[in-house]
This record gives sequence, C-alpha cells and structure tokens, in this order.
Amino acid sequence: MRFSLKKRLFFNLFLIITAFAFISGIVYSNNVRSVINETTKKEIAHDKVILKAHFGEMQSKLLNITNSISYDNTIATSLNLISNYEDPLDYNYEVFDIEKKTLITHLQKWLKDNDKLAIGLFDIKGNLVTLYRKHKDQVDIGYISYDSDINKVFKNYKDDKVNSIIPSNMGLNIKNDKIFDGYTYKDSYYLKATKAIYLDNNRVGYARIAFNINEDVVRFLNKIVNTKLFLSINDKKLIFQNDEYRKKYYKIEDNENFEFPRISIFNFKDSLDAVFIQDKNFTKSIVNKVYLEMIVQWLIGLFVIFLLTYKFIFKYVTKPLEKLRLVLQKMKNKEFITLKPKSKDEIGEIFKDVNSLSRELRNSLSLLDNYKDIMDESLIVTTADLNGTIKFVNDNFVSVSGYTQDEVIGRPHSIVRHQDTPKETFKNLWETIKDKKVWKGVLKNRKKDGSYYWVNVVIKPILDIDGNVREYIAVRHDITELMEQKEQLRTLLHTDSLIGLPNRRQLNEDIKNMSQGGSLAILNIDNFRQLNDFYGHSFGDKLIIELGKLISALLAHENEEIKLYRLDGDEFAILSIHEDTVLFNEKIHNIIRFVEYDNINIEEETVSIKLTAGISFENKEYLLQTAGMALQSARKKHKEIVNYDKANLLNKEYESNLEWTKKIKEAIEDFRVVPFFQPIIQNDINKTTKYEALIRILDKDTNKPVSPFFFLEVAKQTKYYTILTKIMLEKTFDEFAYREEEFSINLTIEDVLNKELQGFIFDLLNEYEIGDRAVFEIVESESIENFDEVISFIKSVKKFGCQIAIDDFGTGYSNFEYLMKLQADYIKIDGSMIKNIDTNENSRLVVETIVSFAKKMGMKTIAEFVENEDILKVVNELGIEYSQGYYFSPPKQELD
Amino acid sequence: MKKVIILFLFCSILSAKEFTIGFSQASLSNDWLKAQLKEMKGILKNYENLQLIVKNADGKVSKQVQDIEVFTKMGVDFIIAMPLDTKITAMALKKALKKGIKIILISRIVDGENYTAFVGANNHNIAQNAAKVLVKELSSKGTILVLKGIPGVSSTKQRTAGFLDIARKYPKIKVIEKTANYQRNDAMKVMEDIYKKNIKFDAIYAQSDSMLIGAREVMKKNKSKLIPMVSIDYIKQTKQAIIDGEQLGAFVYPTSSKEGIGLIIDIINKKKVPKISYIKSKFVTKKNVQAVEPIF
Repeated sequence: MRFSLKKRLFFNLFLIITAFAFISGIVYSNNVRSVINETTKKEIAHDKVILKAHFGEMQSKLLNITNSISYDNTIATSLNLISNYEDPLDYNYEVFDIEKKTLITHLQKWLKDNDKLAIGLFDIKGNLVTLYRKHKDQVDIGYISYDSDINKVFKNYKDDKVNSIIPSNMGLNIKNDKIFDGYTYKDSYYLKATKAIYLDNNRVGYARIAFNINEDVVRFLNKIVNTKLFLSINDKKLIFQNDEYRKKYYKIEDNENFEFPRISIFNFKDSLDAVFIQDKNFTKSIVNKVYLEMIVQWLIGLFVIFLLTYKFIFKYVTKPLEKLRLVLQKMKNKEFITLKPKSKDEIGEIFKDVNSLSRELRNSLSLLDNYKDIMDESLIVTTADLNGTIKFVNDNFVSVSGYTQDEVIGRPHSIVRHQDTPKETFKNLWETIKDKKVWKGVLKNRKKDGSYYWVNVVIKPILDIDGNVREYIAVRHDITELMEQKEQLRTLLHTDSLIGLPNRRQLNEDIKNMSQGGSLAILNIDNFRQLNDFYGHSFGDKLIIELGKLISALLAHENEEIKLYRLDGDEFAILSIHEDTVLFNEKIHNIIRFVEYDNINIEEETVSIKLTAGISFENKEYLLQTAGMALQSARKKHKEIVNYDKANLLNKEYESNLEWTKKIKEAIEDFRVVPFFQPIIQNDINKTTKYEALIRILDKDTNKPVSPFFFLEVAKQTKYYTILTKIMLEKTFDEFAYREEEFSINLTIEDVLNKELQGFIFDLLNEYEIGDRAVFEIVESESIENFDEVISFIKSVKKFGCQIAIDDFGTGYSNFEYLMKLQADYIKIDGSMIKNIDTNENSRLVVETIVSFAKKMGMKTIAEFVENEDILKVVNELGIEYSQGYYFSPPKQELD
Repeated sequence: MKKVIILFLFCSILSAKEFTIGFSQASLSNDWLKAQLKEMKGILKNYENLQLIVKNADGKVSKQVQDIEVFTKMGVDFIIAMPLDTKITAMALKKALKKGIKIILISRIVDGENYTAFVGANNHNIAQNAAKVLVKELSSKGTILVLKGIPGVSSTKQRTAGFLDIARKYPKIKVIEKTANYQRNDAMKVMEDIYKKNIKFDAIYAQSDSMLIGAREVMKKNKSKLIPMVSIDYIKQTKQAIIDGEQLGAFVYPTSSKEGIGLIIDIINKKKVPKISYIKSKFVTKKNVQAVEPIF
C-alpha cells in the first residue's frame, strides 16, 4: 500500500498520540491507583476522625442534655413529689397523672430539636416514671400510672390510653450504672447517659437520656464520611442506611473484593463499631474510569489534532504540494503554469524556486527548440542507441536520404554507409564515440536510391548523469555540392585544359604520392616560340595537342607505371615510378626520336619538331626541380637529353645561398629590410581599403628594392628568417597604427608555429590595439602537421579582431578542408590563374568555382595580378570582392 | 436564702424573740390569692419579730411539696399553708410537723391531723347556702350551671359537695358541672362551648367571682336574658354587678390571713388554739351591698 504524505503524517500522528495516550494512561493509572490506595487509607483515617468527632460530639451533647435535665428544678420537684409522695394504694390521678404529663410536656424543650432522643425519668427506686421514646413505629410516650386494681399501667401521653404492657425501663440499674453506657433496643443501639436527680441535695430520682443510633444516623454518617459504612452492635446486629444497603451488604459479605475495616465507637457492655465497606474494586473502577477518560481524551485529541493537522496540512502542505505536482506534471508536458506563493514558508520558497526553475526551463526549452529548429532547418540530425540502431531522424534526413522515418527507425545506422568510405574510418569513428569523445569528419553517405551525398558530420555521445553513454547524436551538414565542386575543381586543377592531360599540379601530387623513387623527364619543343610566331598561337596550341596525342600514343602500350603530363606552354613531363635510369633514358630517347621522325600534320602543314629532355632520378622532393634544371642544362648545352648531375648543379646553388645569407645579414644590420605596400581595391566601390605588406631588401649600392624571390627561400633556411618577419610585422604595425585601412602581412606556417614569433605578434596586437584591421595571410605549405596549434593561434588572433587570408589559393597544397579548418576570412586566388583569366577559359572556370565555393563558405575573395582592365572586368564579372595588381599600383615603399 | 435566714436569726437574738413564718401559697394566679398575701403582709407589719418567707407553688402540688420541704429544712417556726392537695400536701406537712414546726392552714384544710390549726370559711356551708338561694330563686325548678374551680383542691370539692347536698334534694333542679379552674378565661371558654352546644340553663353558681365575670361577658355577647347568678369571693367588680343588678348576690369568702396570723400570735403567746375554726361568710345582695367592703 502506498502512503500519501497525508496518510503517512496521520499515521505517524496516530502512532504518536496513541503511544502518548497509552504511556500517559499507564503512568497516570498507576499514579491514580497509588493515590487512590493512599487516599483510601487517608480517607478511612479521616473518616475515623470524623466518626470519633461525631460520636464524641454526640456524647458531649448527650451529657449536656443530661446535665441540663438533671439540674432542672421542675423535673427535680416533680420527681421529688413522685418519689416521695406517690402511693400506688392511694394513687391520686389528678395529681400524679397530671404531674407526669406535665413532666413529659416539660421535656419537650429538649426533645423538640432531638427527636432521636429517648428520655426516661425514674423515681428514687429506679422505677420508670415517664418515658419518651420513639423507635421506628414503636412510639412509647407516656407515664406509669395505676389501674383501679392498683396494677401498674403505662398511659399514653397523648390520649391517656391505658396500656398494660410496661415499656422496658431502658436498662436502668441504679447500683451499677455509669454515666455513659450503651444498650441495644430492638435493632437500634442507644447511647445512654444516666444521672441522678437531686433536689436540695436529696436524690429524688434518675434521668436516663439515650440517643438512638439507628439507620438515620448511618444515613447521616454516610453523608459526612468518604467511605461507605454501617454500624455493628456487639458484632451481631448491623445497622444499615436502609434495607437496600442491608441487602447489598449480604450480597458482598463474602466477596473477596471487599474489605470491612472497623473501628470501635463505643465499647460499653453493648459495643458499637463502625464498619467501612472498602471496595477494592473501587480502585479498579476508578482506574477503569481513568482509562475510559484517557480513551475519550485520546479520541478527542485524535479528532482535534487530526482535524487541525488535516486543515493545516491540507492548507499549507497537501494543497500546495498537489498544486506543485500538477505544475510539475504539466511542466513535463511543457505546459508552464506560474505558481502563486501564498505563504512565506518553505512551500512558498519552493513555489518561487519552481517558478524560477520553470522560467529557466522554459527559456532553455525555447532556446533548445530554437536550436532544434535551426538544426532541423539546416542540418541532418539522427540519433542512435548504443548499438547504432537509429532512434530518430529529422525531416532533413528524410528529404536528403530519401528514406521515410519508418523505414530507418529501428534499423542499424550502417544502412546510410557508402561503400566508398573506408572501413577504418568507421572503426575510428566507433572507437572515438565509444570512448565518449566527439567524432568529426567528412563522410560519404548512401541514399535510398543508391546514390550518395557528402556530409560533414559531428557525432556526439550523449551521456546520462552517471557519465554512461545513453545514445549518440549525429549532426550532419550536407556538403555534397561543396564536395562535388571540390572534385570538379580538383579535376580542373589537375588537368590541362588544352589537351586534357594531367598538369603540373597533378604531377606534383603524383610525385608526392610516390612510395619510392621515380624517374622524371621534362621535355620541351625546341624553337616553339618561333613556331608560334610563325604559325600563330592557335597553331601552336594545335601543335601541342597533336604532340600530346602522339606521346600519349607512344606511351599507350606502357602500363600505368608511366604517365604523361603537360606542364606549362610547350613543356611535357613523363613520370615513371621505376628508377632504372638506362631503361628510362632509352624510353625518353625513343620518344624524342619518334617525334622527330614522325611529322605532325596540322592544318595541312606538316611540321617536324625536335624535343629536348631533362631527366632526373633524384629523391621525390627534388625530382621536378632537378629535372627542370637538367632540361635547362640540356637546352643551354643544346643536348638532346641531360640527366641531372647532383655534384655539378648543387654546388652552384650552395654558393648562391651563402652569398644571399650574407646579403640578408647586412641588410638587417643596415636597416635595409623594408615593407612595401600594395593597395587592395574593393571592387564594388573601386577604392583602396587594404594594403598588403610585401618584404623587400634595398640594394646595398643602388638602394633599389630586391624581390624576395631571390632571398626568401634562402632566408627560410637561416636564423634570419624570423628576424625578417619580425621587422616586417613591427614596421607594418607602426605604419598602420594611425591609418584607417586594413593591412595584411604574410606569414608562413612555420611562422605561425614559432612560439617566439607568436608572443611577438600578441605583444604587438596588445601594444597597437589595431588587431581589427590586421589580416594575416597564411601561405600554403606542403603539409601542416600541427594543425591544432595553427588553429589555436588563429583563434587567439581572432580574439584581437584579426582576420585570416589564405594566400596563393589554387597553386599549391591548399584545399577546401584546409580553408574550413583555418577559418579563413579571405581567399587570395593565385595570380597565375588571374593573369590569364581573360584569355584562358580553364583559368576562368577554376576561379569561378573557387569564388562560388568561397561565397558558400562566407569567405571573401581577392584577385592578385590584376594587370589590366580586361582582367579586372572578368574579376568583376566573377564577383570577386577585391583586386590587387599592377593595374592599380605596384608595391610602394611610401603610402599615400 | 441562707444569708437571709442567718440575718433573721441574728436579728431575733438582738431583739426579744424572732419567729420565722414560711407561707406556702398555692398560687398567685388570681386576685383573691393575691389579696390574701397582701393582707397577710399588711398585718405582719405590726409584728416586727415575725419574719415572713413566701413560696408560690404555682398551683403545682410538687412545687408546694418542695416548698414545704424547703421550709422544713430551713427550720422555720411556722408554716402557713394554702394546701393544693388534701393528701399530698399533708404528707409534706407531716414531715414538717415532725420536726416541730407549727402548721397553720388557712382557708383550705387537708386530710388527716397533720396540722396544728385550721382557720377559714366553711366552703361546704357557703355552697349549701348558695344552693338554697338559687333553688329559692328558681322556685325549685330549673337548670343550674355550676362553674367549678381547680379539680382536686379542697375548696372545689367542698364548694361542689355542699351545693349538691341541697340541690339534689329538689328533683326538678338539674345541675350542669363545668370546670373553669377559678379562671375567668377558662370560664369564657366553657360558656362559649355551652352556647355552641345550645345547652340551656336557668341559673349560674360560680365557685369564684372571676369565673362568673367571664361567664357573664359571654352571656352578654349572646344577649342572654338576666338569670339568677351567685358567686363566691365578693370582689369590687362583683360589688358593682350587684349594684347594677346584673348579679343576684355573692358570698364573701374571707382570705383568713388575719385569722391565721392571729393563731400564730396566740401560739407564740402560748395560748391554746382550736384545731379547726370557721369564719362566718356574709351573703351580699342588693340590700346590703353598700355596707359590705369587697375583699379586694
């Protein structure tokens, strides 16, 4: 059985009150019992005192009356007459009867207040003269007289009626009588006092006055004593209040529950005792009464306390709690009711707390709902249980995946997997989320119809309060379009637009992906410029196309281990993953030979072309560079094929490096390292809103600026590189401290990872407080190993309001992932693509994709190398926000 | 009381010879008895050596007995007694007599010989005369109402017996006896009762003046016709009634005080005194009423 608060409270109250009543009842009844026992003893003792006093008083009253009678002259005179002058033989009725009657009349003055008195007057011989005695129905009031036969008779006082039966003489015995004595008459006890009566010192008779101790006395006594009693004469005759009591006594006489303690009242020849009727049951009955009272009090207490408590609890606890429960229940259903705290007690406080909780909850829920709305609006959200079973999918999921909710809920999450996604990815995913960590990544998911969609997904384990995984929530951002654009871009970027061959970018990538050493040959057409000039560019392009076809055909029989690329202009590259120098040289030689002898027909012209090749077998890091060097070397030497010779080429470079290192050092010392500033025009308003700071060293002799092309690569390998960057930063900040335009400074990834430089940058930002106008242009790098550190730096500078631009986007290693991770604000599109954007459709396509992507990502684009109006026009057409180039201004040392 | 006695004894030694007289008066409840005492005291003023001690028995024999016993104990020289009971008083007097006290009975006598001398009117004789007067008035025919005195006392007995001695000789004379205890009030009660019971009577014989005065008041109230009425005592009111013609006549009943003291003087003077001596009683009628002084 479930106890409600009220019931439980009442139950407790019931227990407490009952226990209290029970214990106090026992204690009280014990006390009562002992008090009663004590009281009973005391009462009897007290009653004894009362009885003694009462009978003592009776005795003294009797004595008083006796004295009063015995000293009464009239009585003495009469008795004198009767004792001394009465002669039964010559009885004078007129004198003696009248005298005796007069005597009785005279006695009235004592009798009128004491009708229990019996008074007998006696002559000198002790013979009865007059008697006044009422004993129940037996009334003996009269005097002794004589009939005509001189027989003693008793004449009634009232009517002088003669009664031959003489009443007893009250037991008078002249010789032995004491003043006080007791005698039994019928069923009464008489306390009697006897006194001789004297007239002028002569004894003339006796008076005996008796007090009738009858049931009236017992009745009276029972009124003044505490314990019921009766009287006992000589232990035989018993005097009760009335017959009813008598009957009662005989019923209880042998009852062991009763005790009959007695005290002696008169101990004369006939003794009189008072017998108390002590009811042992009395104590019991009192105790029972106490119990009864206790029960009644308990019931009343129970009732009153229940009533009050009920009222109280109902008003102050139950009702508010009910209300609270209702509110909380509704809160569960997201219905919010504001409680009105009526009292200032704890409940009132709870009400206030619940109200504020409700408000917060409502706010939170509203916030949550908003979040959810936003998420549902923009993201694909699913949840799954610990086994990956789908529990929930939102509408976006339905619309993107093509599954209905019913089709997926309860199914394993793997149904959205696309077979292209490597198993390792999922393994990693599950390990991460099972480890209660957030997993982030890009996944290719499968639609119901078998097609795919790309998502940028964040999976978060939802933990319960014990820290155990309860479910997983996956939030996806559909990046299919982005991914497709990326793919497109990638293809565009890696394919030569003229002949559809892989381009330099692809070559770079392939080299990078090589697991082992390879062989690279770079070929170009001898005298191609002359051919172009002679036949026109169009012809040249066609020639390149035909040549590409030819070489492709020549390599067609080869397996995939050998691949043809078109580099810039008339340059082609052939990459083999094998390093067999002889074989590779032979293959290249064969190609050159075949091209030389196999004329190429273009526009009905037959052209014989000759190729020159540079070959390198160096490590992949230097493969392209060294092959290029070898080609240059071959062209200079007019050799058909030159293989890169390490010893020969590196020495020169080394010498050059040493020279430049010295120059850099001197420039730093002579303060000839200076920033030049090139304006960046905001296209829509055609106004300079930014400058890019570019490093220059002023020539020692001519004081002309030297391009970083000559010293920067060398500097990167020395300790001076950091100093150069610092000089650039400091001078640029100084320059722009009081200007309005934004300014950008180039930083390499190495710069960013340099802790010393980071600190230097933060100090500058703190010092100049112009972070909101600073843009850091991060130059693409081959790879970023410590991405987190880079992001951390970016986050730090963004706090100062700084912006991030990705430099030379499109040329090197940068990709879209990179952009997203770096939270770039600007994309600086590589100049190589801008400078021919007006003529080269391929470049335009690439740039268009980049701009579209950037717009989607909320990034702004900057075009470099805007060198003429035509370029600017295309740039504007494509919606690129900013332009930079010689069309506007070359980098200048001084700002306007 | 003892002091008084001692004083008298002392005085008697100083003067010639002192004598103490104890007077046991039966009662002082009527004027006649009061007059008797008054008269006695008046006479004794002439005898300085005679001291009088008076005890009133209030009409109770027991009291008189006690009074006489007290006198006896005191050892008085003389006891003058108006006995209440012929026998019982005599028993008390006997004791006194034995002690040597001279007993003088006045007006009433006791049974037996237990007294020294008696002097008084002859009640028996008066009663016979009263009867003769009324019989004559009624012409020996009619009903006579007798208002009797205190029962048991000698005067009542004699005043009844004497009357009846004569009245019974006339068969046509009827007698109705009613006790009125010599009291005027009692007589009124008796008369009212008689009228209530419509008892007819033709004459009244009252054993005392007081009783007849009371009776007459009731009769006047009942507008009774004047009938012959005689009474004993002859007091002022009776004298007036006789003058007024309301009463036929009254027998003078002397108090005997003077005669009693006279007997004591004789005894002191050692003269021989008669045991019994009667004082003659006058019958006062309209004829001689002016000449005879009432007793009080």
